[in-house]
Amino acid sequence: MAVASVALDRARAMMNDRLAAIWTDAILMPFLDISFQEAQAWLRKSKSPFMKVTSPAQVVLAGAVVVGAALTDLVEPIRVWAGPSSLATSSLLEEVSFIPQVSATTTLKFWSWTGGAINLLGATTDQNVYVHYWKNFATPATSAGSLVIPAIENYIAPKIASLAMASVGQDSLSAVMAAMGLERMEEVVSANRGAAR
Amino acid sequence: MAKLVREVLETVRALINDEEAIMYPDFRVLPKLKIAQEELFNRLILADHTITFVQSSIMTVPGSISDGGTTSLNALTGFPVGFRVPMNVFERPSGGNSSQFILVGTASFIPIQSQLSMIQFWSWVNDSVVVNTPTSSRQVLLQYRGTPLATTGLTDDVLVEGAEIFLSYRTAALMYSVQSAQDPRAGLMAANADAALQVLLRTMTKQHQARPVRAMAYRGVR
Repeated sequence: MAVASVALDRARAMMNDRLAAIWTDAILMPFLDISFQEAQAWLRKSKSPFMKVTSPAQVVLAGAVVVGAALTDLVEPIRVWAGPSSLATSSLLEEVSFIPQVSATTTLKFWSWTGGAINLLGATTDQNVYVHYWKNFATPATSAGSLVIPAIENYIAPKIASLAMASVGQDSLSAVMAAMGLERMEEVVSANRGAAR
Repeated sequence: MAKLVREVLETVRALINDEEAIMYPDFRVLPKLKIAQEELFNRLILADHTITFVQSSIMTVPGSISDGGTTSLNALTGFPVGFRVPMNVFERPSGGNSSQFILVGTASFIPIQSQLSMIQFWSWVNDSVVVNTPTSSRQVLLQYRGTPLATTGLTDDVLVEGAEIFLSYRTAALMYSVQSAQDPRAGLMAANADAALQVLLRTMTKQHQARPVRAMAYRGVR
């Protein structure tokens, strides 16, 4: 996988500043951040398997009614399982709009995605909960950090250049770079679509 | 966790070429970010996203023997601050357990009928959630569409995962537009914000999380 400096260097080349005389890493990193996050939103919208993951066991103590606080990369849950031990022996919980007003039993039974949290009915015994969810990768903190996602630099580089040009009022150049980025996004999505056609 | 307000402000300043915060310190950018947040939550409510679904804490409707009386839940202790649109109301005897909550019926107006020991009906009139006043106190739960409290601190997060892209562009558009409505960069940033919002809204599913609603090309299997 490419590192952030690859995207930064390409963006500088597009802006005729290969030696980083004007557009230093420090100036471009915020643009890389927003481009990287944008690209991930596109990939999730396109249902890229790369953006999905199953959590490790999340221990939900008896009586607890929320899970997922430890999943710092969680964007949105897809399915939730729960059971006394491993995922293989867990049961798929039923998704509801709001948790029903019923008494807790030994199983969790229900979950709801409301208010940005995975809410549970609560159980009378400790449970292991597994969440299948859409995730988000953190933006690399430095130019040496990995971009993690295959081919994503193809979109990020022109998008960084577009945002940098826009910030100094070079609107026509910005529009050209933005169009180039959108074109490349199809390649990025295609590279991360998995086995499904 | 969603990004922090401070991080979004830094992105906004990068977009408007003021990384050093010389022209636009936090106190000048923050009010525009709050406007962008309001816009975001209005759109999420309109789109019926479950992130705006909230359940109140238990409130107590005091009993009264005034026949035909009504009580506004909005005036009760514990009524939620971020309330926007009611969805369901549940009631139970005071001090009951959770399985005793039953759904209260909804009506355009509270029916004109003799007073009961139960609430039985609620209606949303004059921007107020009104119920039949019961003869003895009842406890109620309100499920509603709402907005979280406005973000106030730089170390608060922006509440919606992935929303920082829309918020950054929209705030930058507002920053440009207050300088000059003719500034083409305001339009450019607004267009970026609209595109980001569409992606965000299409990415967030509306209940049935496992249903393949993201009907897009190149998608994988779920």
